[in-house]
Amino acid sequence: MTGRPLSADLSVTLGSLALPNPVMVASGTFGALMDRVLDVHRLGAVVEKTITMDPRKGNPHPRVWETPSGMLNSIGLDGPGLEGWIKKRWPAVQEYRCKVILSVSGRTVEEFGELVRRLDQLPRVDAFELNISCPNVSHGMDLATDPAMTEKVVRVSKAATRRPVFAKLTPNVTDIVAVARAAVEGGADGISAVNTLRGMAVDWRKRAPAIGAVTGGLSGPALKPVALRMVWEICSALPKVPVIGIGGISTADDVLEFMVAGASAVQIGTASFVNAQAATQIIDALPGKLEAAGVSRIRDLIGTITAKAQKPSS
Amino acid sequence: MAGIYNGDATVVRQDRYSTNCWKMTLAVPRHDAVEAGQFCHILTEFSTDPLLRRPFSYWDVRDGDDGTLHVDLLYTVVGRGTEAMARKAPGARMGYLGPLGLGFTPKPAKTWVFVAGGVGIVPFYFFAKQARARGRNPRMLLLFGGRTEAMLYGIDDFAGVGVEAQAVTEDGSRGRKGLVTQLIEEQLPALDRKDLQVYTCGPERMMEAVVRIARREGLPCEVSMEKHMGCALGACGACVTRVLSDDGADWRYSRICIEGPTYDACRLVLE
Repeated sequence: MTGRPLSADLSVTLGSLALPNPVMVASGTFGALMDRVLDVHRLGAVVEKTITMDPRKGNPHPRVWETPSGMLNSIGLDGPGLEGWIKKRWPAVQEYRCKVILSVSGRTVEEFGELVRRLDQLPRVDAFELNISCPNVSHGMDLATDPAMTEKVVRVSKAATRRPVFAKLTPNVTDIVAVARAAVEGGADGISAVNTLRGMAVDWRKRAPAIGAVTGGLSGPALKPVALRMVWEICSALPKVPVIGIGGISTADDVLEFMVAGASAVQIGTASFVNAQAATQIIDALPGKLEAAGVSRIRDLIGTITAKAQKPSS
Repeated sequence: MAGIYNGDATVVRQDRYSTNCWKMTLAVPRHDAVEAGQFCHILTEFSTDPLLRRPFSYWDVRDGDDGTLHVDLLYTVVGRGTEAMARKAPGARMGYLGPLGLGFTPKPAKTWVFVAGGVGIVPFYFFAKQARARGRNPRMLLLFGGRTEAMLYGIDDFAGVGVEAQAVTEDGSRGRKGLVTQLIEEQLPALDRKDLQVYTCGPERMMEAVVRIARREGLPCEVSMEKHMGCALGACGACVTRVLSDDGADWRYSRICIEGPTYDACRLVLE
């Protein structure tokens, strides 16, 4: 095997969306100066930070807190709003030679549709991701705890675009399959699973929460087993639905674990904070892993896990 | 900032500087010139716990004799990341991302007053050294406060870069007993306030008090902020401070890793 160039085929598809490799950067973990360090053009796709209709200041400091093998964040969807994003961010984003997925969050079901409709007019958007699962904003935006609302939001958003729409789900539910099923019922082209898990850290000496907003979303390696379990549950129940695995993915092995569990692609989040080039280093490590396992096409691994989710026995 | 280096750094040496304070020299490939007041983001362990990087101001930067850049970090042990750093021996490797952020603005004023508290002293040594090397000749006066003499980190190094240092300690173990803000009030009458520039770095409460004095006296002041950081590249939105909005009518959160860590005090909205 020495000296032979690694030639594994990393391409995958998410419904009609074809990616040169399965590695994306997750919403809210990429932007600003990160593209000065990370070679963004080599990614499978970029998922932009969630775009809201109006500018948002975000939550009070402290907004992040390190926890064992993870971190809590409560940023609060700060951002320039739709107009500000188009003015400030779009000029850079449209130069990216990778696929571009726009993440949106509305205050109401209708606002999701309006955001998608307006952004759909931009020339090179490849897909949308509906952030119906941010645990850090009030006014009941955590829509993905409710299957009926999830279906509604997806339906309205799908009506506003012909491009693929993915629903990003929260792990803060008892039965994520029910929510995934509702999203698909509403017309979702795929599922992004999962957002952060609600958590808390306490500074007992100050008798105070460590995070300014009291609770935050847990991400990083500590989240991985939970995310992997949920991806596996969704993929077992809905084998034809493309799933993007998210949650603590930091290595090429993590990527392959999610794909074997059923994910067609993955997103890297917290790992990019640990190492801004994590995503491309993971892409570089995949061919060697596949060759060593005698796998020539990464897509052949998707959903090959031998265990299927069991229906609860009655 | 075209040449941000993201990769390994090798520990060249590590010395205990005073109680709970260490000076570490790292060798990194030559990267963009560091402006005093910028910082680097250090991955202390290649592990998942501790997971995140820690930001450090540069104490000194110089060319190493081995073709690398030698970076000095002066730091206190405050938690698990810095505990891990303090255990590193020469040859150990850590992750390095830098240089990052915006450095201090060298102002044309005839007198620069550095107001520092505790480990907030760090950026001023390189600032003075760099300014002197670039032929700037303001009078530089350091007003330095610490809890004890042992916490006046590096104070005796400043004479070598042409800085007059005055200290206060909370226990009176060196200099007057008191707070650095009292030292400013004492010194101000003797200074030409029309040709003065204040720079400050230290605990948040101290910097707020310095900013209030500067505003009261109409003195220009630059502040170097620190907050818990995530990515240090402006992507995550963790390290924010309140600044006036661009039209001045409201405030907004500014990401200190890319818009700071240095700010003109006029822009800050004290919480």
